Parts: sequence; C-alpha cells; structure tokens
Amino acid sequence: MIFVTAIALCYLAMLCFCMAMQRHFRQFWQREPEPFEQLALRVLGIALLIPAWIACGLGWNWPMATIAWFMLLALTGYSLLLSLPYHTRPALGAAAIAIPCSMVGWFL
Amino acid sequence: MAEHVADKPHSLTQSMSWLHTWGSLVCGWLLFAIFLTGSISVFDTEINRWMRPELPQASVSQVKAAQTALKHLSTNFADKSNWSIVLPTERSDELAITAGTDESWRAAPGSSTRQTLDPQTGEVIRARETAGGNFFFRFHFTLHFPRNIGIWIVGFLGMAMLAAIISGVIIHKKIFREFFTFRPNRGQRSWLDAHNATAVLLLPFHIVITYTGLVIFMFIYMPSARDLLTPPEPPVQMAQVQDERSERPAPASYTDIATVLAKAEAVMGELSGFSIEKQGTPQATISVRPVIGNQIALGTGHSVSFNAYTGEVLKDIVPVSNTQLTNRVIVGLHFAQFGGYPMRWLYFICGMLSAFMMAMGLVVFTVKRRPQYHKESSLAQRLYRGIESLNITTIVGVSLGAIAMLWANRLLPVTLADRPQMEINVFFAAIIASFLYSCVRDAAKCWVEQLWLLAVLLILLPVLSLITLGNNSWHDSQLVYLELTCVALGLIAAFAARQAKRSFAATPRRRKTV
Repeated sequence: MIFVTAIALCYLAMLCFCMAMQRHFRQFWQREPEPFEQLALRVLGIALLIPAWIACGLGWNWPMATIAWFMLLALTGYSLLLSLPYHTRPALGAAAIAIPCSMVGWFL
Repeated sequence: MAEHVADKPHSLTQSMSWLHTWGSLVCGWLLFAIFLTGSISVFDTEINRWMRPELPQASVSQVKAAQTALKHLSTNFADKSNWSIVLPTERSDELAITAGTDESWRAAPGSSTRQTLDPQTGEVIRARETAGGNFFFRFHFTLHFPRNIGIWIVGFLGMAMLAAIISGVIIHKKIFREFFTFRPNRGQRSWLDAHNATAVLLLPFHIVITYTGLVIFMFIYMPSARDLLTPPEPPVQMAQVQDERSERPAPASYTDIATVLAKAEAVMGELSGFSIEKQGTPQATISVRPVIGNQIALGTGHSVSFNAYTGEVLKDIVPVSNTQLTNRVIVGLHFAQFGGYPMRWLYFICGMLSAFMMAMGLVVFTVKRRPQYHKESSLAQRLYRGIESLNITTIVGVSLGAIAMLWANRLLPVTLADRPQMEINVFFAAIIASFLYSCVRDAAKCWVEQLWLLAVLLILLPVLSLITLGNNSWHDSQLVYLELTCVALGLIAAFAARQAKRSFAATPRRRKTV
C-alpha cells in the first residue's frame, strides 16, 4: 500500500512541475501564469518530492528506495507527458485519485 | 540534421548530430533487440514457470521441500558425491535436484542427473523441456552468438549506446526548458518530440543501465589492469579423493537440515538452495546459497558452509572488500534482482520504454526522409528501402519472435526431441519471416499488418493456453500474471497498429516541416 502512496506523491509532484510550465498552465487555467504562481507550483512540487522519497523508503530500504524514486518520477512524468498535450481531464482525474491515495497509505 | 559542407567547420552540435543520427541508426537495430530481451528477462524465472506449466504450485516451506529432496536423494543417489538442491523461492516454485560425481560436476552441464521433484510427495515430475526465459537472458548479452564473441559484440554496442546518449544530450541542449515538450499531430516533429521526451525523462535509467552493463564484463573488455596487478595463479592440483567408501556413514545421519537452513537464513536472508559436497564421506559439507537479490549488491558466490554431520559453521560469508562491494553494487544495479516484485516491474516498464525510445528514433530517421525519397538517387532509394525493412524487422519482428516462442512452447509436442532448440528456431524463423515480408511489401502496409499480427498473438495468448492446457492453464497465479501482461502489451500493439494506419493514410500535406 505504501507503494501506491509513493506513486501518488510522485505523480502529484510531477503534475505541479507540469503546471508550472506556461504551456500547461494555460491549459488548466486559461490564462498566463504570474511569476509567483510558477514559483509557488515549483516549490510545491519540490515539497512533494520529499514525502514521496520517504514513502519509497518505507517500502524498500533506503538505497533501493532512492533508485525506485528516480524511476517513479520518470514514469509518472512520462504518463503526464503523453496525456497532457491531448486532454487535461485524465490528468485531473488521476490527481483526484492520487490525493487520497497519497494520504491513506501512511496509515495502512 | 546538418548538411555535409566540406569547406565549413562543423560546430560541436552539428558533429554530434551526425554521430547520433548515423551511429544510432547502425547500432539501434541490435540495441533495440538487446533492450527488449533485457526487459523481458527481468521476468525470466516467471517465463520459465509459464513455459513449464506441468510444475505444481509449491505450497510447502523451504524446510519441508529440503527434507523431501534429501529423502529422494538418499534413496536414489546415495553413491553420488555431489548433491545440489534448488529450493522453491518467492519467484520460483520449482524444487530441483542435481546429483553427480566430481568428474561430471566439472564437466559440461547435463552430464549430472537433474530432476524436478514435487515438493510435497517427492515424486519426479516430467515437465516439458523448454528454452525458457533463460533464452532471453542469454540473448540479451550474447545475441545468440557463442558466448565470448557475443559478449564482445554487445559490449561494442553498449559503448555505441553511451556515445549515442552523450551525443543526444549535447544536441538537445535546451534539455531543461523542453523537459516536457511533446506536440502531437505534427508528423515528423511529433516523433522527434516523443523520442526526445522519452529519452530525457529516462536519461538516468539509460545512463545507469548502459554503464553498469558494460561494467559487468569489464574484465573481459579491459583485462590488462587486473592482469598487471594480480599475478596469474598457478594451476591448482586437484586433490586425490580418498576412497573411504568402506567407512561411509549413512546419509541419514546428516544433521537436521532445518537448523542449518535457519542459521543460514539468519545471516544471508532468503535462501535459494544448498549443495552437499563430498557426500557420503566424513568430510561432507553443506553449502547454502542465498537468493541473489537480497540487497542491491549482487550476491552470486555467497555461501555459508556447514559440517554436514554436526551442523557447525565451517565457512561464514566472507566480508567483501570495499572495491568488491562497489563492483557488486554496480553490477547489481544492472541485474535488477533486488527490491521484490515492485522494483522488478519498475525496471521492466523503464526498459520497455527505453526500447520504445529507440524504436521511435529509428522511425524518426525514416519519417524525416520519406518526403524526399523521390529526389534521391536509385542507390540511395534502395538503401532507404532497406532501412525501412530493417526497422520493421527489428522493432516488430523481434517482438513477434518473442511471442512466437511462447506460442511454440504451447503448440510444439511435449515429447518432441530437442524441444528447446525448436523453440529457439521458431524465434529466429519469425524474425526472418518478418524481414522477408517487409522486403516484398510496401512499408506502410507492412507496419500495420505486422503490428496487428503482434497484437493478435499477444491478446490471444490466454486463449491458446486454454485450448492447449484446458483446466490446467491457470493453476498458478504467475501464469495468470504473465498472460495478463501479454494482453496489456497486445492492446498497446493494437493501438500502435491503428495509429500507424491512420498516420500513413493521412495526406503528406498534413505533415508540417520543422
């Protein structure tokens, strides 16, 4: 179950980084991003990376967790890369699932 | 890509672009096969299992399985001096024993007797002979050449891959700004975007896998340093085995295997098997081996040795030096035996995406040049035709070979002589057939048709199992997972076939240039 949390947190972090890009911010909010909004999203993304790494660490030992963390970031980023240029709705749907998943796994 | 202008000095980007394009083209065909079979061999034990469905699902503990095996060995092979037992593990349900003499042990594999046992009853199981997942593993680092030649060829290709990665990074300088750029529906630009984005996101994976892969055989590629630092060892004199058969104590007086295994497990983690050397003599020793994936550092060669009669530890695991540990960790990162099934899946998906990235690169090469084919000389046109053919053969053909092997495993008669070789023949026959078909058929139609064939073979695999095995098809969850994965891959192949048909049908006018 902690693996699901790790995947969810990595996904949310990558979603923040994507949204911080002008091209994708426009897709979600239909306007240009302010510089502080881009900064805030990037900071939020970085902030989410840390619990993602901790979640990996709880599922494996720390060295293996770091390796898995890198791969999960790549794969979740890739899923966004393939979906966002077409529609934003799958990404938002996945985020809606990811947010509860990211919180539940800590307790199970 | 830079036009070759003889009197103008090339910038670094232009040179790297030339190197990346042509080097990747020539080496990419084989590298795709290497990455594809490498990803498949992440699950080599599971494929072995699927290819021998006669094996029962093991539901006994390792200790019980060990006791069953020892009972069988002492009943039937009491006179053999070497026993080896492979225990059921998390990945593999098989309980196998090998029994032989010292001579047959050192000789070619197969000269000792090898049997698979039912871990519950101890009776011998005859499962079909198969090339198994091990074929993909060996193909991955030898390309089915004789071992040393293959290792050299794959090593050369690995170095080419490193060159491709570095040249790719140099070309793609805006690596962080265009981190997530993918603009679909723009023909050649989209293919390039997809290739770049996949390569960039998986860049750490590519670098680690390529580098660690080369390190595995580094002493074959660059032996000089070690040879200079370590003098060659004098040939070891094999000690004459004392003939003490007359005083042989009965194997039944061996110590309780449960305690031995428990002690070994406490030190090494999950166990994979054990062997008894000098069996039947007073010097008999039990060597217990761990599963090689208990930590990142590859655990091959680790063992704990016990006196077979008293259970006392003769040789504990030797702590490795830091140099050796570094080597084992680097190699272990490539072998991907650690971290359990979640990690295995991560490696599999990343590996498949890497192979896909290479496929996209090969396609970019042809897609970019297709609009200009009619302007080229006839020799160039023939060469481009050959390149299109080879693209189809390596990308779809090798995949077809892999799935055809699984089909052959179910369809070939179980009692066929030399069955493993026949399965391998089917693999290569599929690739050759794919190549011949791509030579005679128009590239556009060929892509679509072969992708559909691939999709059909993957998706119908469970149906094949049901027809050939009946109720016995899914008695083990591993069989189910493998077939579900194939169906999922088949759906992806079907999607690709559909997209290929659409994009070939679109008019050339739709494709904007860069």
